[in-house]
Amino acid sequence: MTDLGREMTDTADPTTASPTAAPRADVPPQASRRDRSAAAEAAPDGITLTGVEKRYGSHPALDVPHLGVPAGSFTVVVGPSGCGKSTGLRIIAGLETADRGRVLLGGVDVTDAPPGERGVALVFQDFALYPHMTVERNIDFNLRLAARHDRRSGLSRAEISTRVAEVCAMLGLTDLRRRLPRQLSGGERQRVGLARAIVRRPAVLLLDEPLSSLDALLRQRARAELVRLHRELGNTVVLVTHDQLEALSMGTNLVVMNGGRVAQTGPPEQVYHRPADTFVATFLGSPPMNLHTAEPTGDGRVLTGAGLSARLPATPAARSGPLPTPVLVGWRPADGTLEPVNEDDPAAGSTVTPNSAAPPCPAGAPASGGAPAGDETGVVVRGVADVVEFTGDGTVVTCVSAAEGGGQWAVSVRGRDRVPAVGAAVRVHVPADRVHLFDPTDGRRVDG
Amino acid sequence: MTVSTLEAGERGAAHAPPGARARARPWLYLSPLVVALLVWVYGPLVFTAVLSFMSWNLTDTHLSWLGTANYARLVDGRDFPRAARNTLVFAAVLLPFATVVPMSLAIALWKRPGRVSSVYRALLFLPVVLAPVAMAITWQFLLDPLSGLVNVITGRLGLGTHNWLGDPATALYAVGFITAAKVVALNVLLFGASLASLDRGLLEAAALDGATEWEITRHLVLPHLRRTIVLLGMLSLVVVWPWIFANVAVLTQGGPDGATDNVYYRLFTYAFTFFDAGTASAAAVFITTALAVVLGIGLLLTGRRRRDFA
Repeated sequence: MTDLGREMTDTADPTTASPTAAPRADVPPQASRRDRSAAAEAAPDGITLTGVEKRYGSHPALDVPHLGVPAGSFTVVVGPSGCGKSTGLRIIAGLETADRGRVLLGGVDVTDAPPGERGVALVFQDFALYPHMTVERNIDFNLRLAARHDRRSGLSRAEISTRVAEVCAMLGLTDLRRRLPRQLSGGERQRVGLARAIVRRPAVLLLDEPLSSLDALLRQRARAELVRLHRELGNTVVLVTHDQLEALSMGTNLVVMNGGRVAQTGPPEQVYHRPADTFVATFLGSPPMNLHTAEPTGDGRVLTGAGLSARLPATPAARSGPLPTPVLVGWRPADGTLEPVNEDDPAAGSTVTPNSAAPPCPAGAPASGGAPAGDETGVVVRGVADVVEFTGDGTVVTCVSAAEGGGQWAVSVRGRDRVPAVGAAVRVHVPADRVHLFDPTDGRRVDG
Repeated sequence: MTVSTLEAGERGAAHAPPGARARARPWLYLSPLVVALLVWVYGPLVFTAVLSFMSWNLTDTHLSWLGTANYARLVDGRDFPRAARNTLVFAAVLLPFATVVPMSLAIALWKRPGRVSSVYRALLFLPVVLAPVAMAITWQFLLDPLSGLVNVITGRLGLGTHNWLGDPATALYAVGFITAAKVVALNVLLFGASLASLDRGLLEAAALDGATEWEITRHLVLPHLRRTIVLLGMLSLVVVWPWIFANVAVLTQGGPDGATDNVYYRLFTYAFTFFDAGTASAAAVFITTALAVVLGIGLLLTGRRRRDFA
């Protein structure tokens, strides 16, 4: 876990590196997305947390030994409520103090700096607009204060109004500048909150569930707007959300949190396709990943469980040692394909275990199991369709395992493919490269 | 109980024939309140206005018409103008204790929430629930020129002693400050209630915007309290007189040499010392008119929008 920061920094795409690209004059030096990776190699992380701990009474809210957020990245922090993601954000902003540990922004230790001196802007969940100030006053409040505090480094009145006009134009607020917050719609308020945060060009922009108070249609648009905005500003953005769809779709970098700890970090695709443990596996993706308990038999390439049988390809080199017994077999509902069921063909069951000396499987498993025929690898799961949900671009079929104790699992059927009727027998095949294996004792991934 | 009455009423209304009876029905329900108001508020108000043009000693059955003579006597005399001036001084002394002082205390308490601040808030409120006369008598003991605690302390400190209530130069301020303790106590509570509705998230937003503690107070807390300040300033100037009255009646009886006399005590003196109902009524009309003007100005102030910092 300690080298996560480096790992994440290295994920920046080297092909777009362009050492000659000069940073735009109006954004922080390491901010432009085009020379992001070049900057990331030289410059420290945008945000670094080391040994940060926070407790509320006896309840540990946050425990992060090390977390690095690459400069210029759009990092999404996701986790269930109470996982510490908002606490972490507030510690970065300086609104909470950690019990222990350091916070570094762009390599500068800001652990003891007040919120206003960290170069951090935060968009609040409820936007926290100043109710008695117009949109314009809300946006330029920070700049005016800065100009007052330091007349030399602060902006002149003309510069401030130019900046505000720029930001208002960027976010479509030009016509609303004289309005009060209470005269705005939810989406407009969100944009004002955003404008207030970006008008001072912060090196780090924090967003605390900024989309959760918008309705579904607006949220879709605001999501795209935020991604575009990040592309234009190129600064480090950290967005906190509990919505796994936002997490997967928006970020260039994903941090999954659970119980105050960082469960996994990396690009969204990597986290989605190679979840580090069962929590990440089931938290990301809808419907969540199916998990089955299975026993390795024979040379460890064949697994059997209630209503499940699997044949794995030759032991991957990455995996050292035998599989734990039992082992958790996971697959995503969208990775399974329906196969025709031949109820009268018992051979399907007998081909599962060529090694018939294998310990007796849970009741019913061999009879109803059905396995990848011959040398075909992958997982075959059998069950009975229980609930069929039409989702528009597909259908989710929730099945009850064919065998006792096999639990429930779901499979997604794409487009207009044929959907099994409720009560029909279902047989699903999952290719071996889409199968995830976890250790049931600690939930960690075991297949490398 | 309320519910069943309501339901019965609605059912009755549904069956009532349309027209005059239906229109009369709301007035039937309002009648207890309307009658009470007529008997106890508007009736006496009109009666007072009429009385102010007459001569009556409160006991006689004989009332004689005087025209504006009562008003002329008030304005031309020595006592009432002095009482009016004193009343303005009382108001001026009390105004900061109705607004700035309790507001500062309330903000300080609100910025540092916790058990200590809750206990302190409760202690501050205590004077409000004490009986006015009991408190006045306690102050009489405290301010006694010979053995009062206040003079004992100033004497020990080498500041000398002073007859605070007996000296015309200090009597009004002594009574004013005694009353102020109570006004502060009540208004700290009311300002606190107004502050409770201020979103603390705004303070965090302002802190991130780089605002100092004073700038947060100046640009966020004060604008939030603006209406409360005007309202409490006005209300205090309306409700504080019974408290001043009790203190004046117990401690100075308007003296020394009329130094603590005010329009309310003067009205009481006209009516129940001189039994001159006509002059007392003229004074009452004068006071009511003046208060209406103050309230009108206050309403204009709260209604007007003020630009934030320019």
